[in-house]
This record gives sequence, C-alpha cells and structure tokens, in this order.
Amino acid sequence: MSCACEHLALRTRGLALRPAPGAPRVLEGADLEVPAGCRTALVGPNGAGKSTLLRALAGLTPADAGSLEVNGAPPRAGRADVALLAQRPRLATGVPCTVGRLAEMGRLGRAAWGFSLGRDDRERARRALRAVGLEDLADRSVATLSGGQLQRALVARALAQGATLLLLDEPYVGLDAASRRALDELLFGPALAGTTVVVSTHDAADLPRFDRILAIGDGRAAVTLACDGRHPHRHA
Amino acid sequence: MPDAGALSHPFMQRALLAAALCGVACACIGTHLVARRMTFVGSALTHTLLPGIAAAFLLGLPPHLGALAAAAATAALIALAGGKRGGGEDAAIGVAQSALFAAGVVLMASSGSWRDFGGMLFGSVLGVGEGDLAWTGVLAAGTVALLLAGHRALEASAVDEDYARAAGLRPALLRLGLVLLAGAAAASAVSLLGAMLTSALLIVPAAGGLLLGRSLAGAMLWASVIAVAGSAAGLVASYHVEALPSGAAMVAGCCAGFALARLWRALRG
Repeated sequence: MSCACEHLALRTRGLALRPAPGAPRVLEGADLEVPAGCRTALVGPNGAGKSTLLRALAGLTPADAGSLEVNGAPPRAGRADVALLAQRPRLATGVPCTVGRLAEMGRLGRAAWGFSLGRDDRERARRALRAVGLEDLADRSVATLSGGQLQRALVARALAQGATLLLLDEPYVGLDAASRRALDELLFGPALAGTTVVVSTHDAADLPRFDRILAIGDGRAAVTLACDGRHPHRHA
Repeated sequence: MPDAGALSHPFMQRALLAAALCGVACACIGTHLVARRMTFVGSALTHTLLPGIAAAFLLGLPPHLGALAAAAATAALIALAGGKRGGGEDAAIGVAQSALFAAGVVLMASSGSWRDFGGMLFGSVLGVGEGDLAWTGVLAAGTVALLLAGHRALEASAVDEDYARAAGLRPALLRLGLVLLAGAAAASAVSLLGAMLTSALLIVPAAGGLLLGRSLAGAMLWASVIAVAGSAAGLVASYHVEALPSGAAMVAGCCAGFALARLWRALRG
C-alpha cells in the first residue's frame, strides 16, 4: 500500500450518517481510512451518501452513530485545514466578486470580521491563484468564468485557506473535455502535492488516476477497493 | 448640485446633511439586500416600520426609536415564521409585513385622527430639526460601522453560503442581522422620507451601484454616490419648484442616477 503514510487524514469507525435529521440513513457501519496526501475517489450510486459523507468530513453534518476523525480530531465547521467544494457550486451571481476576491475569501477563517485583509493574506491568495493558473484572471468577474475556471478558482480559495484536506463533490459534472483535463492537471499536479484530495465521482473512467477508491454501495458500509500507489505525489 | 442660494438656509443645510447621512447608510445596506435578491425586505420594511412609528407618535417618543423597535420586531417575526417548509423566508417576510402593517393601521385608527400621520407616511425632509439630525446621524453611522466591521463575513456568505457555513459562519443569522441593519438604516430616513418612500432609498441607489461596481465594496461606494447626489439634486429642485414635494424629488433624483447607471452599462455592453 504505497500511498499509505503514518498520518491518517481521515478515519471512521462504524460511521452512520443521515443527510438531514429524521431522514433515512445513507451510510451505516462505515470503517474508512485515508492516509494523508492520497488522491482518493469516492464512488457510489446516486443517493448512496457521497455528498453526505463529504459534508460530514467538513463538519456540516453530524455523525448519527460511530466516530469520525479528520486529521486526528473530530470534524467541525470553521476548521482551516478542511475545505469542501460543493456539488455544482452555487455562487450568488448577483453579488459582484472578482476572482482575486474569491481567493481572498479563503482567509475568512483566520479573521472573519473586518473590512480589509492583511498583506500576508493577500499575498497568500495571490500565490494560490498562481498555483491554479488563474493569476492573470484575478481582476475578472467570477460570473464570467467557465465551469472549469470556476472550479480552479474555488481550489485556489481552498489553497489560500491552507486546507490540507480538499473535498470535491462531483467536480467534473458539466465540464467539457478541456476543462476536465485542466482540473485533472491541478488535482494530480504539484500545486496540491501533500494535500489529501477526496473527489466524489460517477465516472469509472476517472478512477485509474486515483491512489485509492472508496466505494459506497446501496446505503451500506463503504469499502476501500484499491490503493495502487501510482500517483507521483503520494506520501512515501 | 446644491447652489449657494439653497445652501444659505439652515433648514436646507440640515436637510442636505441628513439626506447624505441616511443616503449613505441606506445605499450600503441596500446593496447587500439587492445583491442577495432580498429587495422584498426593503419594500416590506416600509410597512413593518409603521406600527413602531405610530406607537412612538402616540407615546410622544422620537419616531426613529419606534422605527428601530419595529425593525427588531420585523427580524424576530421573520426568524419565527421562516423555515424550509411553508414558503421559507419570502413567506415569512410577507407574514411580517402583513401583521405589522395591520398593527400600524390599528394604532393609527386608535388616535382618532388620520391627518396627524401625513408626515409619518411621506416624511418632511425640509422640516428636519437638530434632534432628527442627531438621530439620523447616530443610526446611519452605526449602520455603516457595523457593515464595515462585518464586511468580509457578509460578503463571503453573500457569494457562497455553503462555503461560509463550512468556514464556521452562520448565514441565516447574518441575513437576520442584515434585516435589522436595514431597519436601522430605514429608521434613519423616516423623518426625511416617511414610511412610504424610505424603501426607495434602500433599493434604487443600490440597484444602480451594482451596475457600476466590480466588487461589493465598489457597488456600495457607487450606490452611496447615487444616493447622495440624487438626494441633493432632488432637494435643490424641490427648493426651486414649489409644487415639487421634497421627498418625492429625492427619490426622483436617485431614480435618475439609476437610469444613468443603466445607460452607462448598456453603452459598455
């Protein structure tokens, strides 16, 4: 298991989740482990609980039973080391916002209140944009971005945040081939080296690129299907 | 823009200063409301502030105080009546608007004279006294200060509520906070424009500012320019044209500013 390292980015024991209070469980008795630095695909049919699991890892959905640890601690909202990119990001189109400003929002958790950012925060956001190849678009309105560019801008926000665990919910949906390639180059490239990336996906064609595959089936336990260690940025 | 003749009168000086203060406050909070598609809140506040102003009138208190209390009641009603089931926030705002407007009508009827409420409904910007000016200044400055202090959180939750929630913010509470601040800004304007015209100052300059600004802060700045310039132009026009009511002239000035912003946007493509 060549992508394994001593540190686990996420670990669950007997985890059960409900998407909303009172709703049926979508995951039951799941024992999962993802070593830090792994690129992990999360697969399963619609309604299996992929989005709910990602939301739980981001601290937005509580465990119904069992335990859940992210970087060694229970998840909670507001953690700077975890970033969730929601399925079909619903950015409010009526709010004027530049790409640069979106990246700077990654520093929100460091100082939520106030009007202006410190120089270090702005520099960090700028570096994040450079890492995802969007530095030249910093002054562009977010509303004018393509789907692929928007995903990269959101990854830049997560990088600016300092996240070491990046959770992407169906990021390939709606992207054309070129945008998918650009997103892949980002997710599997040096910009995210050392970052643990968990991507939920429906497309079996995506799977060979990942270090590890977590499969959720029929509302039952999730299982680890593979860990081939082919990724060059894995932890040794 | 204000001419020397108009500016030589203390009542015009007070009116212009008050219009500038509440114009900036309403423009800034209004930008948040319009950007978030919450313009219904701005319109609803014109109805929900009525019972507070009427109660203050009947009790001999400043109308601003009553308007502020009514804004708090509006936010509380929206919080209590809202929820994912039953129409959500829109329905809750509609309920708050209907309930509080009805309470306002009852209070006005209880006074036995509807004529006393003319100034309350349409304002009297040229009759703004020192006390009104102080209230307007305090409410407007407080609104803008709180908006600036919370700008990053408000902006992040406006752009992406999911991300804001994951970052530890509470978007629903922030939205209620915005309703409260909109109420405070509206309260700063009630003695100028009255309950019926105040929503124009919340919505029109903000809609224009959002056509011009490339960021939320930029839109707030442009909205403030439209509010201040439009109000001042309207006031001066009303000074020179006796038949032109000052409150309506201020609103017309702001609408002209919006029209210019729309024209500029259309020309830029």
